[in-house]
Amino acid sequence: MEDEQIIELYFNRDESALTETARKYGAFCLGIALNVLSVREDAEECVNDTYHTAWNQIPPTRPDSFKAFLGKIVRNSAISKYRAAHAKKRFNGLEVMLSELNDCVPAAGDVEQEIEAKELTEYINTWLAGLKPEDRALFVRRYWYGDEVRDLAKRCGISGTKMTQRMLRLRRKLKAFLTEKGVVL
Amino acid sequence: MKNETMYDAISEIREDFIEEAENYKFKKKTSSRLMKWGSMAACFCLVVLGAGLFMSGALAQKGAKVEQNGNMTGKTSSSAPGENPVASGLLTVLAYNGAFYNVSNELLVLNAAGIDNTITSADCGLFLGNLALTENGYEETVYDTDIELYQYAQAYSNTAVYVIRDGEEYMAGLFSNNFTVGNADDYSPVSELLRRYGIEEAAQLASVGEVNGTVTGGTVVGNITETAALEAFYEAVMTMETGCYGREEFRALMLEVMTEDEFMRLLEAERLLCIETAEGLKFYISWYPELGWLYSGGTTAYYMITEEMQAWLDAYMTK
Repeated sequence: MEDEQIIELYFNRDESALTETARKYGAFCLGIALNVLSVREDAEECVNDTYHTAWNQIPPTRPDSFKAFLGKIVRNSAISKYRAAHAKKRFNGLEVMLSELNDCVPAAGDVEQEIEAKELTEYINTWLAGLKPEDRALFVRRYWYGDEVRDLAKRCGISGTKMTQRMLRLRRKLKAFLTEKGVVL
Repeated sequence: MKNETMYDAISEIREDFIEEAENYKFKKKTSSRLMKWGSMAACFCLVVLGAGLFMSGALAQKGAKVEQNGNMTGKTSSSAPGENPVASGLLTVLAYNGAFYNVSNELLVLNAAGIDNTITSADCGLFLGNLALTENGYEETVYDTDIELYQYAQAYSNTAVYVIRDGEEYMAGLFSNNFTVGNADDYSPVSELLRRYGIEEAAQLASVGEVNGTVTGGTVVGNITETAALEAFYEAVMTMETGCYGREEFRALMLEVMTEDEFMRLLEAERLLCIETAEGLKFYISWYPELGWLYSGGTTAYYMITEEMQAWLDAYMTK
């Protein structure tokens, strides 16, 4: 079924919208949740939450990209679950990703004001837009989808070490870009 | 948490980037021999000029000379067509199985690699195939030629040394990736260096020492041969597996925290480790104690010294 048709089911409050969403995007959503949480039961719970959130948001929301819309919900749901259970040290997928993201955080300055996440997103969008498509796809696959470095290395036909270096370079580039823009977190 | 702010910000990136990444077809990097040869051809002149790099790229940085003969250092002319560049005293190379090898029949060069005598037919192990001599060096060919490639019979389990028979002449192909010096991305983790020398466990190590002088003009001092120490060395080396960097990246990392002058000064404080395998081969690793890094000319890689490696060096390599 086309995305527009599924969205119409939501607008008509037809509960088969949930079944169709699960059929078409269940695996996609589960993959993202698993990359963050690594515990299957928790990931499945996130995916179910995602369908319900979608049900509550559509209408009035009419997403331009239904897939990305679902991806964002499942990703946010997974990180909420991660944060709730963080003290129990149950998840490691996100731990690794977060520690890598430290490399992108610019050093604190004297005069600059801390910026909001929304503003930071705009800077990241600008930076991403200036990257080569392959580098952009790699960054997004690693830090948005949460793909493992070794899987990305396999997809590009290079060693894990080389992919680690490549990701390190990308993170440093982002840090340099944000520093140049005077961004402070 | 600042990294979580970053994560949250990334969560909200443009949807078209998310879609693009989902559907992106990554181009698999091919490691075709043609590409390798291409890069090798591009820096062949560098190779001839920098033949002194032979044992270790770091040696050249230090200005050390390969003292074995005048004919391997500083020659910039190429051999006449049809003339065997090795026989004529010029350096040539072998590209095989994704790595580059220096080809030599000079005894001092062979000695530095742990080979005691000049290569003869007795050193020919398993026959691997025929080679053709091109302007880029020795290259595999499917045609019958009078040039043959063999495993090195005296240390047959490794891929650090091959034997080449070119007509009546026998030579050794000695592992060295210095030929890829122009490509900062072409470097390998430390396990690859050990693997080339047939070391997959501590028992395949015979000794670790420090070179007092240069590879061909010095002596190895403080040789460590005890099993427990070698086991600790092997384990410590393997902890450096992920801290592997290319030349440019290493340089950039250093210049983030020090000036160029300071960097050059600390590079000068280089020490040289000699590792000997149970089969009698030798290879060398540069150690920059002031920087906390190791360098292998074989893999053209810089390795960040881990706590475990530092502890080993402190315990066994004190002057």
